Amino acid sequence: MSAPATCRLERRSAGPLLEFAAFGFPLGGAFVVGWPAAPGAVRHEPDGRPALLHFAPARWLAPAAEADVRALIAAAIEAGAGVAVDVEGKWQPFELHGDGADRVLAATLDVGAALEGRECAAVTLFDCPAVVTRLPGGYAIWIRASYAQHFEASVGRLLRG
Amino acid sequence: MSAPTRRGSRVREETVRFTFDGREYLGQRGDTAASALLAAGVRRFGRSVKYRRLRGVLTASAEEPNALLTVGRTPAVIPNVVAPQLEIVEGLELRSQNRWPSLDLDVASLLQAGGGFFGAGFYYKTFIWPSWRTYESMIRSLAGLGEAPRASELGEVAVEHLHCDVLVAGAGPAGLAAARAAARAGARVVLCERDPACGGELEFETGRIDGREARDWVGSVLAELKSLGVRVLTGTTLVAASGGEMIAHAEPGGLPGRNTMHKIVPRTLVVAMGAVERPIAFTANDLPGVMLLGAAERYLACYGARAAASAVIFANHDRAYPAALRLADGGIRIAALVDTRAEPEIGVPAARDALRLAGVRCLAAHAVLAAHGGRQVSGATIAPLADPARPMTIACDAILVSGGWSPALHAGVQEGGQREFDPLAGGFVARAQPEWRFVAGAANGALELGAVLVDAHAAGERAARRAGASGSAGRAPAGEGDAAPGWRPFWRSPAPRADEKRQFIDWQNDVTVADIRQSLAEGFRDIEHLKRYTALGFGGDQGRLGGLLGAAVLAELRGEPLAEVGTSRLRPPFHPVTMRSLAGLRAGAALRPARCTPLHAWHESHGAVLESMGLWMRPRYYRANGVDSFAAGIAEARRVRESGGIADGSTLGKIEVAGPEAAAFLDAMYLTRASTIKPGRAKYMVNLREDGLVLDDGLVLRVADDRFIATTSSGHGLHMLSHFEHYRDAEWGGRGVTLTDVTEAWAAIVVAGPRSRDALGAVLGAPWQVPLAALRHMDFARGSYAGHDLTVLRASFSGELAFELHCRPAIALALWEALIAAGLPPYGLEALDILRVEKGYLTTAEINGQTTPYDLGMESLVKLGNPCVGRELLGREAFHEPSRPRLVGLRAADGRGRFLAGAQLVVPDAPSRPLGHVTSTVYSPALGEWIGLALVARSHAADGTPLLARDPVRDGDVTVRVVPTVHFDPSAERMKA
Repeated sequence: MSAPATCRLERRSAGPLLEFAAFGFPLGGAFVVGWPAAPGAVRHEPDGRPALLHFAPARWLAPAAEADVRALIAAAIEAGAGVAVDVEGKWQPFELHGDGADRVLAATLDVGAALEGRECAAVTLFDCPAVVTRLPGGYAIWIRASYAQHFEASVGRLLRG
Repeated sequence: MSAPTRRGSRVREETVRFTFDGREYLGQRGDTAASALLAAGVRRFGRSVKYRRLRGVLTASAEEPNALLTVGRTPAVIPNVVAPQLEIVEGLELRSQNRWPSLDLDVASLLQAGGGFFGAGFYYKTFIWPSWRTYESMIRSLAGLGEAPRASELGEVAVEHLHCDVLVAGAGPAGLAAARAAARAGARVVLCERDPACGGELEFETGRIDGREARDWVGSVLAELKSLGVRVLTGTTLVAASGGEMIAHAEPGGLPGRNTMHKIVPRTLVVAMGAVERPIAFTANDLPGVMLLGAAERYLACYGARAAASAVIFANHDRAYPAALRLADGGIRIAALVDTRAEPEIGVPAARDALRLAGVRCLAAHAVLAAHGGRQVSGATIAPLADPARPMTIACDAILVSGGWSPALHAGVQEGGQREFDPLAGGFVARAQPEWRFVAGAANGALELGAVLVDAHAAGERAARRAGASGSAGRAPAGEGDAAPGWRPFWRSPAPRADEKRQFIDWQNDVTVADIRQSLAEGFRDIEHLKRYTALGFGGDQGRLGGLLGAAVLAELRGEPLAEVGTSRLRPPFHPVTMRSLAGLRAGAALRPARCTPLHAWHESHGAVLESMGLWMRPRYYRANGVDSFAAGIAEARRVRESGGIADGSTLGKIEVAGPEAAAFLDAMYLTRASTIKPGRAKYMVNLREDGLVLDDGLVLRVADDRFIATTSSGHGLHMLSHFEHYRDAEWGGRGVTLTDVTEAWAAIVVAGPRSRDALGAVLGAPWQVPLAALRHMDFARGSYAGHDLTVLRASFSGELAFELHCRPAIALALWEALIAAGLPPYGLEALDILRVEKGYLTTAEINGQTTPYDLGMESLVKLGNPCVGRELLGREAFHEPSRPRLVGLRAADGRGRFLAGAQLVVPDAPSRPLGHVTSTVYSPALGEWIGLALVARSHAADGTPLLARDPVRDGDVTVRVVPTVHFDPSAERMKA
């Protein structure tokens, strides 16, 4: 199955990364307005970039960790609701763009079904642990860094047809 | 001279050239190999695998047992390609199979002269004296279908995962009606059809649906399905179901090479895969020219190919009459229509009259007793069933057989479905189904067009409702077509006992009525035993064609109803799928993911020989240090002891355990307490399984009062995280602890050797001088390097002064290269193994899932009395028996002998009584001899005990003696330096 030539995978530079884990689920009252409280919900930056992804129950990924997100997390920690862990280097971000993105991912997962009724999901793509969310015209994907080479090779095979 | 252009629903005028057994033929675009060769007058397609009997094409479908061809040239051949499915393309090279040197002159066919000897069980009973080996090579050279490829030029297999509300399997009239009903109701529908075109029998049967020609109705439904967003996958067969996932396999053109595996997860499934026409057993019913009636119709209607010039039709139902008329209209002379039913049972008077008017002899209550002919059919022996001794012979070049239809319900009996014999349908039909699965149409036992459509429409609507769709499905289509077949059971023609060995039941495996009789006589009464004894339903056929016929003959011979006998279990795949397709994307380098450390590229570019450890890739050794792992390992280990070295330890699992209850949680997870660790300190800790066996070991670092990093062995990271999570979620009452896998967030570089502190200080610079000097064993300090976090832990897995640098991946390469520049060269796992065995440190060779803390000499840890997971069962008597193993050190008694891991340990005077085994051995450059660790019965674990290390497959026996586990620097002076 070959993907259209317009489809491309881009490895993005990995910056500071935080994971926030709550002590329990369902969430308590510390998760105020602004928290993507429902599993699968995503808080976005004003420019549309994902800022805080609730990728598994009671676990969030903050890929950019901008000041407003840090403030939210700090408040939750202050309230004793959970713990933030600096995971810089754990996740390698990718973006998959273009018309064939769905078809490429369908070789490993029906990503449409995985994201049905939610904005992000923890999934396995080509045997690699991943977090995926939609972007305009494609997907933002965080792959566990040790699997990044395998993920790139797998997608590359499909893109080359 | 070119043949006139044929007209059929699937062929176009464009000419296609191809070869069969070296001879060139012309076909038309859209032809299959079978249709093109039949049109060219070819009747012999191959030979059977066992008796090497000449065989023609029997079907026009994937069930074909005879016409299996080899495509291409040696070595990159593709064997067993089904001729009725293989679409010809320009230049295609085809070969018949199971013959040498040629199809018409095959040496091994002489075996058929002894057909009586080669009945069921012949191999099991014959080739045992003097030895199976005597015959093995000859039998292997004769066995197997076709030529196995020794090279492959097949392309990548595509894989697609998709979800839908309703999956409809089969796009005949039932599947189309069901798909339309479901789609109209608002469901997302996927429709799979194994043929390249939709419509099923409507491609050639006459009928009207909703007031229009059935074929027009098919076109309009397909247009409507397209407008409703239904995904139609033609050339795609639903082959298996597993865990709610349906596996549909597409093999475009019937040839491996561009295959797609669709992994479909539907909310509901409609099985509308129709029914498979089945043969009748009569003498020599395997001669080329014997064909299923429906196949002859399909070849004529779809490809314009006449399967015969003059045919005898042999059937037991009404459908044979309109079929005969259609064939006669297509130019095939019908020499006779032989119906096993008596006159009153025949229900198509108009069709019979029309045939009689056309001069066709319609013989009721008759049967074809035998096919005549040497290399292909030249006539049929026919007799009244009431008096088989008065036969007549009618000349013909084909006998077209139809014994009824077996509902295709493989997908309907997997995963919980049941079936039941339906005497009206003449086969087993689906009964109680899981709530998400619906069986419709012929697969459900409905064989009359109107009933099929109503049944399928209702099934499609129910499936859509079940999937959550709520729209209107509209009314069911109204159909009028061939009447209900009025089938009456007739499975085999009368024959003398001697002829039963030529009444074929399973063409692919040469199973005959005689084989079934013999199987029964030898006690194999159950249908499953019969299958295994005779091979009935083995191979690509899987009983779709002859399974029910075989069961019916068994029922007759047992004198029991067919419903009682049943058929053998229907197992996936529904039809053959290439192994390459099953592998999907997991082939070659993509077989499984390889996890890489941040230093992976450096290792590759600097001559590291990488080895997988779990999914991780780690350097075994560096080529610059020796010609092989043994030499390089010794050189690298020696250098660490003499000076120093660095190793990539990034694969160590790391779990950050945080929260107010983190310390208490870890206390419960480890044999010793984490709560006593002071911030800035680390501790060697051991986990137990619930049954008391040792699960893993590692260091636990206390980063803050409420925050720890627990390291695990490299292959155990995910397992340990899962173990922790399970305990926290299922057993831990408190909620004040979180677990985060930070394995990739921290690269780890091990710096070991007498020079390690000085070199490290030079690399890290002034800010680290004081902390480095102050670090005691198991202390760690946190700071930064090049602007990124860095933790330096003083810990040793080598027995040397050593440090672990836990840094962010972004600076791992810079730090690594700086350390090398400071005079610390890299070492790999081979050296690591030498260093740790010299010190008696453990790995998975010793923590192997079968050892207790007592076995491993950890009594001091147990005595601390921490009430952790697994502690309760440490008191079991069985853990303290003398036969329990004990970890010991080993050395060769003569100080020179080599012994290897895996060798069995015995006492020299009782070599048949195993006492344990060698777990690890290395050649120690520091000691100049082979040393090892072993698990040996406590009764023989005392220092100085002589043992024999038995290793007959490799190095033979070596006398060894038990020594302390710490071979080198037992007072740990070097580590404390």
